[in-house]
Amino acid sequence: MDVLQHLLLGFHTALTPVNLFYALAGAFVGTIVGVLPGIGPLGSMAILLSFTLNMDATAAMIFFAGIYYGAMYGGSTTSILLNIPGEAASVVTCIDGYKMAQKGRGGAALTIAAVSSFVAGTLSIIGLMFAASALADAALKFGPPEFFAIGLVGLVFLVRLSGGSTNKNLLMMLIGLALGCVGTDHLFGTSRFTFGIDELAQGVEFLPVAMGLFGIAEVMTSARQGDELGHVIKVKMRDLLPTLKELKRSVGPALRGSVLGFFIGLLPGPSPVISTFVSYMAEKKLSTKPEEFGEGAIEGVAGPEAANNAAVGGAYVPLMALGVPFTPAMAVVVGALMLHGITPGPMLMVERPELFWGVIASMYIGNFMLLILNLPLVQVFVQILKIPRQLLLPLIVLMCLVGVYSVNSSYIDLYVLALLGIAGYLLREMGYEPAPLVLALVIGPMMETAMRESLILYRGDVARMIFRPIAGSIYLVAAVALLAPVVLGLLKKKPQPPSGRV
Amino acid sequence: MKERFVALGIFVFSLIFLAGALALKVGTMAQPDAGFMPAAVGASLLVAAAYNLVQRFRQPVAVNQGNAGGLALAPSGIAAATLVYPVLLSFLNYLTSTFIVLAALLLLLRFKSPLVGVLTALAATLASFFFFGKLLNVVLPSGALEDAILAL
Repeated sequence: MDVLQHLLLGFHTALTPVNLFYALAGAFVGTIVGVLPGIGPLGSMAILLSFTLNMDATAAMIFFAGIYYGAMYGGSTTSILLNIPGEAASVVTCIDGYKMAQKGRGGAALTIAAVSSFVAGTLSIIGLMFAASALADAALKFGPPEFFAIGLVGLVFLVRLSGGSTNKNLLMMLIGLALGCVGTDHLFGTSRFTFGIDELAQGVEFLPVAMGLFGIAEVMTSARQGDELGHVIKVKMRDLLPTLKELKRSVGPALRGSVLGFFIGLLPGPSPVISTFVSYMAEKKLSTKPEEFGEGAIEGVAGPEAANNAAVGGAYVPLMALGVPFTPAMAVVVGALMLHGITPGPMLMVERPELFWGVIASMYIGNFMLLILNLPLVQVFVQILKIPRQLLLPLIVLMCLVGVYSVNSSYIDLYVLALLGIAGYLLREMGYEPAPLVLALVIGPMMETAMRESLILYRGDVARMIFRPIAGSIYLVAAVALLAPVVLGLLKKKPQPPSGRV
Repeated sequence: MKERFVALGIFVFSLIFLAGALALKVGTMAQPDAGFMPAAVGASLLVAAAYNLVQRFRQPVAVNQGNAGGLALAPSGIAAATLVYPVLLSFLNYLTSTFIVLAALLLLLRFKSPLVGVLTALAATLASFFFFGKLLNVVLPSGALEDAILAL
């Protein structure tokens, strides 16, 4: 009942004309971002971060939620019609979606993708409502050792799950923590690594780092690539209706994808991307016709598309309930909240219920808008791909430069943007993932304060800091989750013949 | 080769960071001071960077497969433009510096003809000035040119 009352408050906030406008604008921008290859939801959210300064905090959150969901919707369009994934979470959709389009079922694939996304988005929002409320209630009992445990475990998971080399991810995470140490020490007021530059006293700002690593670096990478556009498969309105058989075959995968996606979304790392692969593999295993996968199986579209949307809802849970972002996109959302002087966490629901529940209600509305927006306008969105890259990229650079300058009118921020952009480009080229760096930069200062407060509280007794009921449980669950695959892998290993080579 | 260069850069960064951290008051486990976290992070970073460096130097050097034709210089050009922009901004104010950087980028990326590139840069600069300066009320570095345009 309490949840329903809060949800009503949320709808009251979300249904104001201004917030409805931002939900629509976010959904629209997100769809465009999803359609355009290269600039993903993260990059676009980072680029648009400075624009939210002129918005109310609730409107900013609603805008970002729309972008995130919209990108997931938009990504499927180019995957199905062009075999080009607009962003990483749509790669799996290409496999069967494009095959369906080649067989003249592109319209049905688009509709199934949109409806599955809508179902998953709605289910994950329900999950978010209940899970975030429960977790936030529990989090009110958290002290510094618990928050340190969550931060540490989150970063460890991120290093393991971010893909690529673990050592490179670890390096990126440590560099993020190092950058988080710059500025005035929170407890004693000592200046650290400021080199006499007053503007660095507040630390390295999140915005230029995120915009540099995800905006400028992305532009530099895109500038090297060609400008070829594949053959766009045309879809007419009458082709959008799936057959009854296709609908029936999609129900199970969409529901399973929703559940899988939501729970994977709770984990640190690129959860929307991981959830699509897990869903695809699960559907292939469960299917009575696995041979159809890769040849245009509708389950291969419904499951992953549901999963990546549900993962978005899941990713909001730790952010809203604990104030800890587990994905880079959520780190940008934290950045936006901080720009408005709001610290996310368990008290957010108590102190700013209209913001928390307004965002949740807007997600329902945004999902509905996306469903209506995406299907009739599918050909319009595909036309966006025709904007020449040579024009688009300089305009993105301009937005990054002016956007960063507009926040603090700081030249230092512009230098940070440029340097991190160059560093991000080089690091990406060499296979270093920038996501752990950005997340560590956000989580690092919180972790440091929690760690030092804990050590002072327990007079340096680390064991007392770790072996507390909640903190200990967090470490235990993390250790089991990290070690279980290793142990299971070792147990499954069959003895090799002495001279045999695999 | 580039991979080794990046690994070396990270190693040098970690050395400098640890040296800076140790110059701060580290404190004790019971009373951690301002340098405690930086020292812990710096030491871990140095170990991870050293391991990474050794790994990169043990790997055979990858042969450069060549770049995407004429656009190979584009990343360097974009890097230079973003680095130069704050310098230009402090001397030439918003309109001139933004126009120069934007025109340079459009020419570098070969957007249509040079004339179209320059005209597009001019239009985009003016549009961004009105959008940020007028609509969003961002305080942009202004001089006589900006004041004259705003007065129009």
